Amino acid sequence: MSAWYHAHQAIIAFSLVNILLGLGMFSAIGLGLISLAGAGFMAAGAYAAGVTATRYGVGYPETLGLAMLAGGLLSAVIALPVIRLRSHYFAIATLAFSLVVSAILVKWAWVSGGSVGFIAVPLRTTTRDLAIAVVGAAALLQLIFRSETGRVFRAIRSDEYVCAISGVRIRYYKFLALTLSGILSGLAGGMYAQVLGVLQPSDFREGRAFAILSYAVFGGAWHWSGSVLGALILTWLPEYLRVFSNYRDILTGCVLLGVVMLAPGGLVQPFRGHKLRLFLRKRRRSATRTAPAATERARGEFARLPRHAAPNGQGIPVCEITGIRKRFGGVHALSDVALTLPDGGGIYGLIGPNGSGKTTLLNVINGFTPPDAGSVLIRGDDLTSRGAASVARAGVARSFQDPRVLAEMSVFDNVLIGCHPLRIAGALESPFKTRRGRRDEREAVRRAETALATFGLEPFADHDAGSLSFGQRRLVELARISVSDPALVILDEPTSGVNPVLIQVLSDHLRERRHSKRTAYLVAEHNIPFVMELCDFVFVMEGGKLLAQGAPAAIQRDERVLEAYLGANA
Amino acid sequence: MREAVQQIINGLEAGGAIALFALGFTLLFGVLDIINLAHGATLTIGAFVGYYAIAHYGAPLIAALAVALVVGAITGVVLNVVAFRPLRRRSRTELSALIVGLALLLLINSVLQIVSKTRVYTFPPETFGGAPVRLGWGLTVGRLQLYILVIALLLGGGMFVFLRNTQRGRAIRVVAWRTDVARSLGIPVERIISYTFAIASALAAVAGVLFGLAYNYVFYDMGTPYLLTGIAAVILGGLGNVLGAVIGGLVIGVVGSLTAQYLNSDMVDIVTFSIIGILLVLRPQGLLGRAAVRDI
Repeated sequence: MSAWYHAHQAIIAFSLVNILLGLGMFSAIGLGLISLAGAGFMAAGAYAAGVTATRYGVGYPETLGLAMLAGGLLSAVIALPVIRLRSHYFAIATLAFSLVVSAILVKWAWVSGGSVGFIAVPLRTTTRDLAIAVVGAAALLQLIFRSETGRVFRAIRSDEYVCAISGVRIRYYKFLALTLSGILSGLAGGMYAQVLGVLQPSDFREGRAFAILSYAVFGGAWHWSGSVLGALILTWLPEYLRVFSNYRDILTGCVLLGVVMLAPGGLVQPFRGHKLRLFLRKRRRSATRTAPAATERARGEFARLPRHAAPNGQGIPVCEITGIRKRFGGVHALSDVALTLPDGGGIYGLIGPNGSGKTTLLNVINGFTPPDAGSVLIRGDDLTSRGAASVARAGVARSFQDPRVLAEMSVFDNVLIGCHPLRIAGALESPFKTRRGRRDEREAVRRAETALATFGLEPFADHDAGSLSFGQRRLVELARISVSDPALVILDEPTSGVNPVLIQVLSDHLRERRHSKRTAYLVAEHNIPFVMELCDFVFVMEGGKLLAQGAPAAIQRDERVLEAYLGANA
Repeated sequence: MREAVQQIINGLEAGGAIALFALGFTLLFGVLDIINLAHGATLTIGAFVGYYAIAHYGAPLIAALAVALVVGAITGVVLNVVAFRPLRRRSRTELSALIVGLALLLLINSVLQIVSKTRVYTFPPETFGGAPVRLGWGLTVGRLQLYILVIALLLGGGMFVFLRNTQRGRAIRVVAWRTDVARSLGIPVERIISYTFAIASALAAVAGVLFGLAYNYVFYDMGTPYLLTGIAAVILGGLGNVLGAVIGGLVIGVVGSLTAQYLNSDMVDIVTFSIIGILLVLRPQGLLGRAAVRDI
């Protein structure tokens, strides 16, 4: 053992550095950021530690602190502009970043030693230090992975629209993830500098960036253990293939190619469903024990609830929009639309022919589409153009015409995400299982159980939501909406494409909720009988304008409506 | 001033080769939504083929380019059939396509390393024969440089006409726009994808010969830096935009040449990729591209 260790000391150290880099990668790719900035963060950490240690004799722990600081600061700076970019653009922007860092290090020779390299860095990092860093990073990621923060990470990777309507501040989470990635990569760089002793800018270019990415993809990007496995195999494989001398790189390339092609989800992918199910079964068993409490109407334990839940008792409308105008090119999708949904719940219908602007209006209210003019007040707060997450956090939930779910996550997780706006513990708090975080989670699980039972989704709780039928996905949406007890629910054609049984479930649910007077429903529909039977009040749109409003009976008699909309039925 | 104009002319020459490479890259992105890193390896294969044709078999430049074109097209089809098509069948993830391209790049590079025994090849001096062409006002352009620019512009312009005015070119554009619509129109999507790989890779191989000649340097790993420059050009023009790729290539070539002249050749990467970084922040869709930011 000892002889083997001494013979392989260097590669053991390098594989640990690579694992640390892989964990940094996971922190970004865990929410879908294809980051090639790892090489740049690593370079920042390596030079920060190497230069301060060699030139200024800075102590060992301090150099590692500086390395993390350099990686973290740099990532925070570049995160601000790049997190808005879509996947490929993000990948290329971060690659450009790494290349610029390396080119600057070449150019900045009086600090970095230029392309020749920076030599004689004290070799102070031991294998034990590296092992501690790896275990610490993995433990941190495991805490995050198992918490609400990790659930949000996976949700962002799965569908950003669902996240936005669940009140997730996507950019904030992306910023945190990329910064964590920078800190871990910076630390890896700082240790790498003091293992190797020599730094060259060419070591931190595209080759490194792609290598780090391949660790995560090879092993599997959905769990941090994938990055560990990927880094281990891809570091050791060339070592074992050394006997093939010249052909070593070809074989390594073949292995990489083969694994990614045969298992696009990575090596740990096959274990995914299995582990998740075990974990869930345990949790659900504990939840059934408290079942009597759950059948009682979900009463809030969330401290946020009083502010969030519906009736404000002061007569402030749940939703008040005025003078909304929206143009798409030459099309006036909405012109001067105003409507008010008063406090105290109710079911409001929104009808109108195709292209009359119903969905655009819903998108303006829930913050997806910023209007050209006009204002959107949610319970008295002006949230015009503030984005969907802000509106969701003010107590507005919605469904889509085509139901959207987090396809690669369990139904249970899909419903739990609905509780996101109610949570008190933030992204930085919930991984550490503070009292508030534990209480949030307990309450969220309880509410999700109730919602699953309400919509008959219990048998599917641990299925991937993407494997469900259209109608079942609609039920998942409804469960996700009802779980946060919102003040306003926007339903975009909830009866389209689903069977009569499901329509019955939906109308039963709405009727039952009407009595509570807590939630206002705004339902855009083409199914006129459904609207007329269920709604307390109906808005009619035509050509981007509000044509009429009133009680269903009055609307059915309204001449203009009959002419414009019901047409032949009149 | 004259010097600056001369540098711009020199830059256009490198820019022409970058434009050809970027054109194929952007075409593949447009049609398949993938970043094909193996495109860099195709370039190197082209450069090797061109080198062998000229240096070993004494082929004229045009013949060498034609051979590279054919070999490039075959390479593209093989890469598609062996790697990208099976991958498309298995998953839709852009991430695995990125890594598959990377693995192919490494694989082909190491094969070429063994074949070339890690030697740097240079073209025989007579390849560069002929006196420079005088353009007046003391400006000159090497005969070879002129060829390179003309070939690049001809192929680039030809591609543009092909995509706009031929049945097959339009079919490619439909597939790029929406695969499902193309399928419902009866367009044989898989075959069109194969064509796209053939065309894109043929352009990369020709660009490889031109790069090899322009810098008189053929090496197993030469494709990677050009890959990065090519990506910069594509981003500048707008990912997926053909005309943008040509303009982006020419601009990147000129910027590189001016930077090397007036700042320092070390600064070329910094300037090029800083421009790309800043562009991605301010106008991520590039000069002519489609939306790149998702605002929710």
